[in-house]
Amino acid sequence: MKTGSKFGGYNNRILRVNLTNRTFREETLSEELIHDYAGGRGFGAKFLYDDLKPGIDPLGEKNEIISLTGPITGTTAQAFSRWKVTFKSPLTGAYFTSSAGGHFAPEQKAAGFDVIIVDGVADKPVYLWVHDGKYELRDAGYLWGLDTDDTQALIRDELNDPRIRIACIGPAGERLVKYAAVITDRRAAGRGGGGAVMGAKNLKAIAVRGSGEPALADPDAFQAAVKEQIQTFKTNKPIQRHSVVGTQEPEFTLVLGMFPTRNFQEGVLPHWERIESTEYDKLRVRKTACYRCMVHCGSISRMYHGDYQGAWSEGPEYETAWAFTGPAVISDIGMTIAADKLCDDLGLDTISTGNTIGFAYELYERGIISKEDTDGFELNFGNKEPILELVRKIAYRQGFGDLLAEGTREAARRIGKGAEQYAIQVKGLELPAYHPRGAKAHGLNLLTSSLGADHNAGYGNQEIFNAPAPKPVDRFAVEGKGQVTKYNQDITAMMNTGILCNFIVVMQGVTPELYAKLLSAATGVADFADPAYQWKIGERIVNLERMFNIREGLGRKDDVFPKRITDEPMPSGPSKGQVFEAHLLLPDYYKARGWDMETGIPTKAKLKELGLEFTLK
Amino acid sequence: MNVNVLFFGRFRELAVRDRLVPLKEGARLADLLEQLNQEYGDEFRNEVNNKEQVHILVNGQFHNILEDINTQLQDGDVVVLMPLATGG
Repeated sequence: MKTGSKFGGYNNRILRVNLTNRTFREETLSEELIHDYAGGRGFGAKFLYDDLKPGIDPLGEKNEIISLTGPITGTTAQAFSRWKVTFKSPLTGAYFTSSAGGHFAPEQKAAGFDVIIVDGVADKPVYLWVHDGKYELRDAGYLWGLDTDDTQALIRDELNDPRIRIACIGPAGERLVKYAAVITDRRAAGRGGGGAVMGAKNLKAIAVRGSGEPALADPDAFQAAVKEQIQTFKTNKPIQRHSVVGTQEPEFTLVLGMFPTRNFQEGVLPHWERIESTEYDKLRVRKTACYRCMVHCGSISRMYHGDYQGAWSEGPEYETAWAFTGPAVISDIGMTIAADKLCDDLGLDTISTGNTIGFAYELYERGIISKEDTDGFELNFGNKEPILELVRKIAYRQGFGDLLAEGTREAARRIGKGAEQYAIQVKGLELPAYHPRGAKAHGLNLLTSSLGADHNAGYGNQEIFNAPAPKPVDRFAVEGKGQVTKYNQDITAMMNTGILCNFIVVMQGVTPELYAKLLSAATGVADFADPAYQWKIGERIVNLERMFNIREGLGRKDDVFPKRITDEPMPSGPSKGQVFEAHLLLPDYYKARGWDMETGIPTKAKLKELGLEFTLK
Repeated sequence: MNVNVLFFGRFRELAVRDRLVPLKEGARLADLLEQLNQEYGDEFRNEVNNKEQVHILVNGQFHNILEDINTQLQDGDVVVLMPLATGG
């Protein structure tokens, strides 16, 4: 079945679902939307900006879950399987877009819809079933309370089709844990609390299946671009390495001394030889891959010995390999695998979960909380015994877990006693597995992204992987880092329209020139052939996301790290002595962006240049 | 003087996980690499010379950000030889 629009690559169909009234509405994509935002993250930012009034409750009926594909989704191009889900975050109170690999986005597109927008609140648990252009809400009462693995299995069983793809929540999302994930297969759109937004809507899952295939504007040119891409992948050295180990190599930040340890007090984990890539190599059962991706960077890992013998998970990816080791100073690879699986099953973001647990450990060690607060657990750094039980308590909001389920910023506010300074977050989003003191452009992205401390919004590959684009940089240097961060954020936003995997962006597997070829051949939009215009789309998206947050009352005051990051020199290791010089780096970034130096708001001139005048109203 | 060398990936298969390497005072990174090349043989040398696939760090800084192979080494320095790391 061929579907399409004036432009290739799109179904030209949007599905809007209101759960309160159980109504459906179809819309088409406007030419202006396609031209200005291209797809994926761009579409999500525009819809969220247009649809949401400022100040709405992220867990109320006015918030939206926007499920996004791009013009390259489902084609023969490699590594374009990424799925994006956009919403106002209950964790940050701000704009958010989360992402997962796997197979959901291609299947949604094959089911006939570029975009699915869900608002309202259902009066009882439901799931949305979308298949070959048709849609319905179905009862999810019997699924409520189930973990994500069982939920997916039972929906496939009910609909009698093992090839259905499902994005769902687990018990954590149902209980509105602020960093609950949306899980598809065993992959997570983990960050920002999209799972809680779905839980608040009584939306257990979205299930998709289809056979549609949008026509491409110029199939021959597109295939030529795909051939070029495949050839690049075959010769790209980082991609070759990534095919073997994926992200299971914690040593790459350990040797830089920026593996956050002891709740970000240090940068080197004691006994880190126990979690090196060579240890993960021993546990890898097989490789896994996303839809039409020759890189196959994923792994199934299984523990064969020790306290967690028999534990297995898909992953753990680097972030998770950190989340359950560094924050609480534990170097048990088996426990990491067990925690990874538990988070996937219960529907939790591993990054925020691990960071929040590390925060609790530090509060306990400092005497700010005691055993009376922690349900009797002794949260001394190095004690692995409480970890898995804490994960369960968070997901089910039991006892101490109910407080930790709020995330570090809100938990610290409720605890008081100076706990705020130990909440290692930006805009409410917990920091991931990179110490900003060891990589200044990477840190500057964590500080300024509209998502909060999200490493995928502008990865500092020049500093962390010595990548040469646009040029190698000294990771400790301050000068020029504003421009480097702008580059990283804009190229990421640009390539999130397709939607290309961020690993490929980081490894320079697709240049802006090749990206322009792919998008223009797929869609036939003339301007898409110009790499300079692609850069402009990226910059436009970043600025629109910023303006969403400005409208919510955020600004320069929210581009702030905890004092630990800016004032305390790294005590030891290869980043010893480093602080994050925010007083120099932030103005440099605002200047590079063309934002007001005092307020952090994009200037009128910048907004006009990007066609974002409508945000000035 | 002695420098501590950490080996990863293929380097580890050809050498060890980590070891102290004695060097003459005033030695540069090039001297260390040549000493290791001689000790571990041609395959090791090929890995080191394959600049597209190797990260060399001295005290946590990529060597091309420093003085490349002319980087002066000091007693107690930590040198890392690892395959390209790729993503996290």
